[in-house]
Amino acid sequence: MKKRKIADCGQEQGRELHQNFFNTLSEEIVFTILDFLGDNPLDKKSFSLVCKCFYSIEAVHRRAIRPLRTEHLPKILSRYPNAERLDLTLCPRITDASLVAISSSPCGSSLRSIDLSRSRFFSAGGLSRLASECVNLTEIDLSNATDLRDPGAAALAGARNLERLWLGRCKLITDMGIGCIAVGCQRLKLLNLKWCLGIGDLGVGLVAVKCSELRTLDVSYLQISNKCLPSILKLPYLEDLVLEGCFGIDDDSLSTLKHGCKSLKALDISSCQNISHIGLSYIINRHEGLQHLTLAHGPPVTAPLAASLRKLTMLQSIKLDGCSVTCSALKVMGSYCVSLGELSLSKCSGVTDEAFSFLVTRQKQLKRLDITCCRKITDVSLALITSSCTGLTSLKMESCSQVSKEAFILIGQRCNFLEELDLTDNEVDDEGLKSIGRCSRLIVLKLGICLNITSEGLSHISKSCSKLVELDLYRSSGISESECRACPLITSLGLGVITIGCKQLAKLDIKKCNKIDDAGMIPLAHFSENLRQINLSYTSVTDAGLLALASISCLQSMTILHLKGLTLSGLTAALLACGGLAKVKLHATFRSCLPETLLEHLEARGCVFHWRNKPFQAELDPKCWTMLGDTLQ
Amino acid sequence: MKMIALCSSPQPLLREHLLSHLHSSFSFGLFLLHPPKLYFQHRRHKLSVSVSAKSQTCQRDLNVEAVSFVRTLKRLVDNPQLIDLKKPSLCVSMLSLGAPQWLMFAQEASAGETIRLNAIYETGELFELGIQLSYLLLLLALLGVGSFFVVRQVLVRRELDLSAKDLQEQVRSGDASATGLFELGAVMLRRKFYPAATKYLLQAIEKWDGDDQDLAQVYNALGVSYMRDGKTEKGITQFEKAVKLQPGYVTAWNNLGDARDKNKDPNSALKAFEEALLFDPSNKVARPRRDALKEKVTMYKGVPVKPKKRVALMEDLEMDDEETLCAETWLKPSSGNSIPQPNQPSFTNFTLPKDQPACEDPSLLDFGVRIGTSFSKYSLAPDHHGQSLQSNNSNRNQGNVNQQINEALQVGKAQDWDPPAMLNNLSFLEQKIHQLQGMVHIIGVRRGQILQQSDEIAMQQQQMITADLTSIIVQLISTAGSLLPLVKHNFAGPTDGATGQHNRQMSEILCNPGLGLNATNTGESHGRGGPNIPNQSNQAGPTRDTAHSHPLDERELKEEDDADEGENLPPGSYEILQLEKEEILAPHTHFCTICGKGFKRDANLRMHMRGHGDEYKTPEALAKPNKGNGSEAMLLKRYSCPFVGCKRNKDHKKFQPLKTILCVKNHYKRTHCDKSYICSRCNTKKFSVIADLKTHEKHCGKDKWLCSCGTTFSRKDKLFGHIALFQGHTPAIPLDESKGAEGLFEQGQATSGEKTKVAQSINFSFHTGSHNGSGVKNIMDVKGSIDDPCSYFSPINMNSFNEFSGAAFDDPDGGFSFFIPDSCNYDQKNDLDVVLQASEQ
Repeated sequence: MKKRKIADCGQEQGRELHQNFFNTLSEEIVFTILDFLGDNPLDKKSFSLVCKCFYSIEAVHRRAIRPLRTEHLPKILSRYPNAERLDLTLCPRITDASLVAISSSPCGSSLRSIDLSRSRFFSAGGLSRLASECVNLTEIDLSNATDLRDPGAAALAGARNLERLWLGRCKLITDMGIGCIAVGCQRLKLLNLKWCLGIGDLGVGLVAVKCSELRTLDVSYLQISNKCLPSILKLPYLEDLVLEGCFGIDDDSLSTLKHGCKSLKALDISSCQNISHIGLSYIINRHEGLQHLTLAHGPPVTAPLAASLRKLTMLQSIKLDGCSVTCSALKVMGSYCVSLGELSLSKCSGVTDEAFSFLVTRQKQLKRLDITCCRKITDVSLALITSSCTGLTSLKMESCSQVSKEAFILIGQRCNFLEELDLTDNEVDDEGLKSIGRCSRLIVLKLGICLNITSEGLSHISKSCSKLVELDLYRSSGISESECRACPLITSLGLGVITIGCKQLAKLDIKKCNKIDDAGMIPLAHFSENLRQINLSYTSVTDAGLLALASISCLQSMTILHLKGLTLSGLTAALLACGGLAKVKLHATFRSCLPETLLEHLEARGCVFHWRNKPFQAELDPKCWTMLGDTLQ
Repeated sequence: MKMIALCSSPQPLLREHLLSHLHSSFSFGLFLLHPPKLYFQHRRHKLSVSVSAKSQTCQRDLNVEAVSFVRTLKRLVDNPQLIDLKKPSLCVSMLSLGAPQWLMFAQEASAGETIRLNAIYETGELFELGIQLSYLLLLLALLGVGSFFVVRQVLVRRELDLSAKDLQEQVRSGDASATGLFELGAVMLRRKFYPAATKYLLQAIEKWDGDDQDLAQVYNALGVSYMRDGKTEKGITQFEKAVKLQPGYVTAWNNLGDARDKNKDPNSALKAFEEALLFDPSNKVARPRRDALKEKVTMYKGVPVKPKKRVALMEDLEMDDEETLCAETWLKPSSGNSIPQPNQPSFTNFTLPKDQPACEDPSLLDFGVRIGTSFSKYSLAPDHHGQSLQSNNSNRNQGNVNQQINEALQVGKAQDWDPPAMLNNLSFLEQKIHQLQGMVHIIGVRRGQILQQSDEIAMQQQQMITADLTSIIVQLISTAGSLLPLVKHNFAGPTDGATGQHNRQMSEILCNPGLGLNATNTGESHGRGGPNIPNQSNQAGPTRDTAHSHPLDERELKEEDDADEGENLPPGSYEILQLEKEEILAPHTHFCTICGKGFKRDANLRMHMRGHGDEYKTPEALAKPNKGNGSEAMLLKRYSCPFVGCKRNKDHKKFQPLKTILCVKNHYKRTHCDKSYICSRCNTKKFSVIADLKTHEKHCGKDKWLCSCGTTFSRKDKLFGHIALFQGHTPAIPLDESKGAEGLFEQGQATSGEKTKVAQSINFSFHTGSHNGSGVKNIMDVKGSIDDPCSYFSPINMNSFNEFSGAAFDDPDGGFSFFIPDSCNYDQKNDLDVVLQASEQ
């Protein structure tokens, strides 16, 4: 049937255009081409605009939709009947009517995943409709649905096939609501209840009893105690358990645990203040299959505790962020842990050169290492890291101030597999950057507050690191893609060059770049169609620039503080024109000036206003940063 | 042929043949499936060979095995009539063989091959072939053994978990009986959750309403649980209680001895073992232990005991201990309960052929009887009182049997025996008997209809039936026989709810027969073994009675659990007081002798007495009476309820005394008086004791936690416990909680149940649809082929949609009525189906 349709379509077009070579392409070939198109929605858009044939094929091919406006939802849904994933994060206002439209649309029955996080204004009615009609729905993200109450949760329970559910920050859901979900959605494999403060022991216990297929459970910051822990640990398939910030769990409750969870692979008990090393040893003794262990901000890591890690023969990654670690503990870990792939010691006090170098020489398989703020580490350790762990893919060493600039040359010489490198607040200089340029696989490079680098060094990076996606030059010398704060010498011209070069820009912070004016905004509005978030505070942008910005349809968040040239009418026009706005930071004085009806209208559209009342800050002494206004490209 | 010459008459020959065939099949099954018996069976096979082929020069054990098969088959070939007779026996073996059947056929095939070569079968070639074959068989057997171990372990574990779950649910719901609790405890014990086991067993003891004899077993189990948990002292106390309740309880004695030994008290341990041997002189556990202890005691006599050495000794015994403890508590459960049940029908069935019209044919009768007797010669179990057969058996196969006895003893000791297997055996037997019954019935009916039936057919039928019966009997004997080493303990075991698993029961049945025959003999040769069997069945009788009367007892128990403190005083060790009804209902129990004022409490009376003079103010007068008298000298006081027929009445046969006067009062008021206090808030709940009313009023009307089934709970945790227990129940969210538009949405919620059902059905059909086609792609195509996606919308849907996109959400009354219509669901689905079909074409 399909074939014939396309053939028909082709004939018609043939009559019109006589020669359209695109029609000769078979559907399969076009599908294949579409498969290779990247994630950029604009690519697909322009593809579908080639000809009618491509338009219809693209509509059939599309699996994931991310609409920007609720108003167009019905049209979109009827255009893409095969959509399986619906991401509504960009629509600030999702009402019950929208949900009804979704569930009754042709793609309703094939819909597998829906993301409603950051969307508001829907209630139990729409959810129940969604749950009952979209029978294949396996994934719902309801994070930040702060208004959702138990009836909503009960409505959600109608989605019997649900496998993954995020309920982060749904603070009004209580045990009763989660009880309904537990009984209704028994196939749940992933459940995230982070910050659901209304849920207690009983609810979590019931979830553990009813949803026996759970693989991942996040109960961070819940008021749970020892009562539900045994039933959680009885879950037969549980692999990933996050107990971050559960203050109700203490040593006593852990000591009563008779059996651990056999299948558990990853455990996060960071910030559990009431768990001491005694409780930890109970856990470790009962979960010998653990592969990932996160103990951030936990009890001090001492040698006996580290020795008990020896029992975890499968241990691959351990995160001790913010713990106080003794030298002996590090040594014990170095000699006993079999093969650590990931080690995170960020902000650990007590990491010394001696112990750390011992650890590093033993753990040669390390792939990811985080030694942020380990201020006692010097060149010696870094030399050993680079010589023994040559397979490192991620190295984060923000604020390792004792490491001299020579050491960074070693990184480039030895660790050629690096994909992520964080050198924020370090002594690295152009020589170091030149060496780092050899790491051709770099994706993320952070060079914030590195005062010794110049554009020369950056040019080395730009030459060789072609895969670079994120470059952070915060308060450094050059140009950053996401953060350009406090670089007063950047002009609109520079910004224009950036925007033309980086069309994927999603987040722009040009606070205090006071040389940027409307001339910079116009190319920005024209080229950066994916821009979501912008900070314009303290710049010289006026009404015209703002209006130009408002034409960016994706724009969600604006921070407009202390713009000298901004008038009330300009702001009003910009706010009205920018349909997708979800969050606006404005100075408190505007609150009284803006008409009440306008604010109501915008709030009804889903926009949230944050009123700030900061006094105008005089610019700091610009000489404390060495500024260079060169562009990269 | 030498062999046939050996067997003087066709009758024994037939029997020999049948038996040997059965033997071979059984023993092979055994060889395959029951590793502990491996050695024994092997020996056994050799024995049977030596009987049938004495003149054979056996060079290799394994060869002999093959040769014996050759012989059996040759004999069959030589005697065509035997082949005819072989049919039923083959039927038997096929019936009973099941899974390992193919192996048997493989054996036979190999044997057939050897026949062809038998002219030169003494040449080396055959031996080579034989060796190869036997190696092959050995390999297969080893494989079988390995897989059996794994499968059994898995099955047992699963079964245990399942039964534990069931029982736990019962316990949680609060209607578990004492036996249920005991079972659960036993299961927990088996699963090595000792604290849980202890808990349940303690509850079982608390609730126990059966015989004291049976209670001893609970105590024993509790003791074992304590021992395993490392609480030796407590364990010893429990064992002592057990033997006190039932002095002839050998297992408990053994356990006690063992526990005392562990507690470094060899003297008293010795005593315990001697006690055990007193009751059962041939006890295989107690004897060696006693001897060892005797040695130890004499060795250390006078010498200060060195703890280290003692510990070492203890450790030596550790393994043994584990085994005995495990075995003794675990071997029993089904021995009491499950045996007698199937025994009865099978025996009646066994006599059936004789009463049948078919048996009127004299030759057939003869045949039937012949087979029957030939089997009964080997087996005692069919008739517990059939002592006469003993002599018959013993003079027939004296030598053989004696050897077998020894072997059986060795094996029986090491053998682990599991109740579910037994249960499977028995249910299988029952099933078979039912089949047979049906068959006989059909034959009988047919006989009535067609009188001119030929004798041949009748004979074949007869043969079929007899063959079936014999197989049943053999299996029955074996099942019973496998228990014999254990039946010394009478035991009200748990009825394991395991059913199904037919694949397993086959193999299990095959496991037992060989041993069974031997074990029967063993029991008989024992002085005590014989009488034990009827004893056991007698014991089982009352147990089942109690099981039937449970529901009634349970209700009573529930009502009175406040008064029942779960003590188990032996009758007679306390004084029973019975107050009169008036006395119980009187508002005051203590009266001032001077002014006559009444008081509820004695203490209050004493306080009151102070006002009557200085002599009442002395510390002695104010002190609590009976305080200094010494509680041990005082006979314990227990109370009886004056209501005749009540379980708390002393004339009741399962009398359970009440502990205090307060208990009597509360019990009498709650159980035998009107409920006169009505809750003023809800006006529905009635109470007879004012304290109960006050407790109720504390939470009446507050926080109704509601379940979808309509049950309300005063406490949230109770509701969640309820929901966790029952499938499909959900917490019901109070309507007042849903505010604003959600409140108006009520109508939609009310029908949400129906809606979800519809949704599920759609879901299902959708899935099947997609599987029938070529997966997702197919559907995708289908959808793409429709120009106007609006065709998916039913008219109603479109309406509702338009309305919603236009109108605000504030108008739910008009709008939500469109939410629900099921018709649109169906329309959509139908459309889809139609299109699917089209695309498949």
